[in-house]
Amino acid sequence: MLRDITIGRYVPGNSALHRLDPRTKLLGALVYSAAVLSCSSFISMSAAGAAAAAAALISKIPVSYIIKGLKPLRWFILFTVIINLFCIDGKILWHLGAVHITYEGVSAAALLALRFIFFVLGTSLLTLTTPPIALTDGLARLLRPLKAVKLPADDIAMIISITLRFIPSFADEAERIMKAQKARGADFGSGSMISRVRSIMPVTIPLFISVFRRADELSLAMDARCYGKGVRNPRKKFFFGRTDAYFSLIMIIFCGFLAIIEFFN
Amino acid sequence: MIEFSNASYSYTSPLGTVQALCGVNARLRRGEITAVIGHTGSGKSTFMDLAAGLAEPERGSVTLDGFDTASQRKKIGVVFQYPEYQLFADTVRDDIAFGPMNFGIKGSELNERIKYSAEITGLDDSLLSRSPFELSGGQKRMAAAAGVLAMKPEILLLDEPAAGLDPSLREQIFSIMRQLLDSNGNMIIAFVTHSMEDAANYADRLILLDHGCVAAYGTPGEVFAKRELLYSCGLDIPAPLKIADGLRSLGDDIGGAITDDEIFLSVKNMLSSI
Amino acid sequence: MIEINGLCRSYNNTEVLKNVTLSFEPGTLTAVLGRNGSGKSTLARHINAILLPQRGYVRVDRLDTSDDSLVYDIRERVGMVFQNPESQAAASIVEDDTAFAPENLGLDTDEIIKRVDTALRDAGIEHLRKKPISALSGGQKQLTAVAGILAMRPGYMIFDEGTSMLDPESRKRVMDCVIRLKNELGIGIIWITHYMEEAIAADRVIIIDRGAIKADGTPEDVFSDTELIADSGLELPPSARLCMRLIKEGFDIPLALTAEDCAKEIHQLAQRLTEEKR
Repeated sequence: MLRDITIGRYVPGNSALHRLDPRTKLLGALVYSAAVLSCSSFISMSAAGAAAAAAALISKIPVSYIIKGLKPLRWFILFTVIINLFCIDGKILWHLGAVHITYEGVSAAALLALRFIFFVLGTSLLTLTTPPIALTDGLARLLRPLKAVKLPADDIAMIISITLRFIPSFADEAERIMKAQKARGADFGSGSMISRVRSIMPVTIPLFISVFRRADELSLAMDARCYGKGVRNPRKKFFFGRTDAYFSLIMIIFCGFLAIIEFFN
Repeated sequence: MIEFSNASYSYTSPLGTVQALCGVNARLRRGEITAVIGHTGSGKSTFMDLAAGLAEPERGSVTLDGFDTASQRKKIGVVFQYPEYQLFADTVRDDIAFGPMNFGIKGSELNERIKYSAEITGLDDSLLSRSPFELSGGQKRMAAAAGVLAMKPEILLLDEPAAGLDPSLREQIFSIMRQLLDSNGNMIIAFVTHSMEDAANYADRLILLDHGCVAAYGTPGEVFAKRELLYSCGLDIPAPLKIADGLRSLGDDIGGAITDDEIFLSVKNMLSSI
Repeated sequence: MIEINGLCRSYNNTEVLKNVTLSFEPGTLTAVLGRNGSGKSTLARHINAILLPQRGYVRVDRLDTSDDSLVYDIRERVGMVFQNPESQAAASIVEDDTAFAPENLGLDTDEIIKRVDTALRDAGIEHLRKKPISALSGGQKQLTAVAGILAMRPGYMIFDEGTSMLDPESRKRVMDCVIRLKNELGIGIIWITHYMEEAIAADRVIIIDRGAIKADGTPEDVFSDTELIADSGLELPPSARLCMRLIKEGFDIPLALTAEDCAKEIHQLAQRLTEEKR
């Protein structure tokens, strides 16, 4: 199941989305996320959903694969939906004794669920269509102005892209460790909250150690290839081309559209 | 015995559906050490997962004495590759105790089990109270194995148990396996290996997997005799057999020796009889 | 030339390297054998300035590793391939990873592109250039790491147990590539391993145990000291093991290292014995 995580994975391709300048995509994903996390009407959300669907189709990545990336989140989404359904007061739709579901609760729950889903979709599409090195370099270029205030922009960009790239790898490792501990009789699914938290330790501790070990190994390998000598000269230059201009225009119109809808709500 | 009956298993990856095992028929018998060999990607890990009951076949069945292995997990101990990467507890003793405790063993029986598994894996008493992370690589491997042996499993499955170990520890791991079988002839022991020498020297029976299917099954002598098959499966033959083949091509036929001892005796006999 | 002189290192009051003095020339393949914990990796990490000597010195082409300002120059000359194929890639796609080192060196874009092409070709993985590294086999991942190092045009390459996590076929592929690099590009290879069979192909074998150099010579010379091999926690290759046992039985046979040589020697011995009988 953890194998299904798509955030961080890159699927090579040649779609219009793949060919966009990484900076365009980074800013696009940022703007999209901000929009999705701040809009509160269902019309806006539908528009956001349509936009995500359009982007997914353009990327030519199998839709089933993209959707699979949501699977690991289903319990989290379910959890927040339930909290919202039962804990928000307002116009009561249904009740059983002290437990009640309100109209506002349903609204909030649905909104929250959609927010998570679209946020994950947007970020996934970013990483699915952009090779990590391009992400790093794109991010580094965007952050470059901050170097004036002594921010190590290049290193930060490298850190972020390495983290993203390793998410699937550690998901695989976690699954391996879980399998091994399950074979020793570990049970992760049942019992009280406290015992369930404790039962995760046989997975989290080895995983943490593995993370540190890999970080050590990777940093040695990067040192061995002279990382840190000076300013990196990325091989692949990217250009802000026509497709990027169209994409940015579409994003601006999209935001304007959402702003109008929100204003009238 | 563990019986694979027309077992199939597949999984999805970004490259599409991968058929890991297709209609496998095989047996892991009691009182025997079986080695599972095959090229990378031949399905060895999936085979072990199914045998251990950690996965269920999509078609066909994998049973232990008639019951699905998935329901018999309590009786099956699995030592995965590089098991030292699963150590997590504060002390070696606590880590070894994890398995048995999950199955309800406690008190004096638990202490017995810890003592037994520490002894059989050669872990000194003084190491038991140390943190597992303070141990050397070889000791960590033994501690992880002890954690599985403390569950006193009827069935023991190991994935590349000797990977990365020094020669002396490698011998120790395999002699532990033989020791277990000697003291409990009812056990089923199976290991996956890439080393043809280990398969030749330590296994009673071999299963050769190729692209998810069983390509050969029999004693090491029987399987290694099928040289063309092994080469076509991307595998090599044990060194003693290569020496025997070399001698045969030079005109001295000493038969098909596959273990170190066999080739030594065969050559000695040939030279002494001159 | 790599010169190591009087190198000492201790961790927590344990001496890990004891007064090691060695040198390495380009164009040679040296196997460094030792059991786990013998100090072989620690020794290797002093050569490319990952570790600094507590006593003694290490010089690469006369550049001293303890000079901070020379660190990158040294690392450009001595590449290192590590044990874990999963933890060396700095990028997602093979050719991006190969370009990593030249990019770090700030070379011109044209030069970077040229070096990537050459490195991929020399490592024999040109056909994999656009593939995602996560989809490669262990051996292919290690060859990707090799290409990444070759892009620096190093004079020396250290393989710190570069094949111990690979299956036999991948191990052979990497070893074949490395021998080719030594022969065709004249790179000095330091091959750290505990697989005796891999040491057979080397020009020179060094055995290290408990932080000290116990042997240094040709494979034939070193392997014939069987007591030392056993003391150092190592094991002779199967052919040599057989010859040893025959020698103990009183047969006059040299130590053969490969199966073919072993068969040949036994056959010749058999013929000699047959002659003597007549």
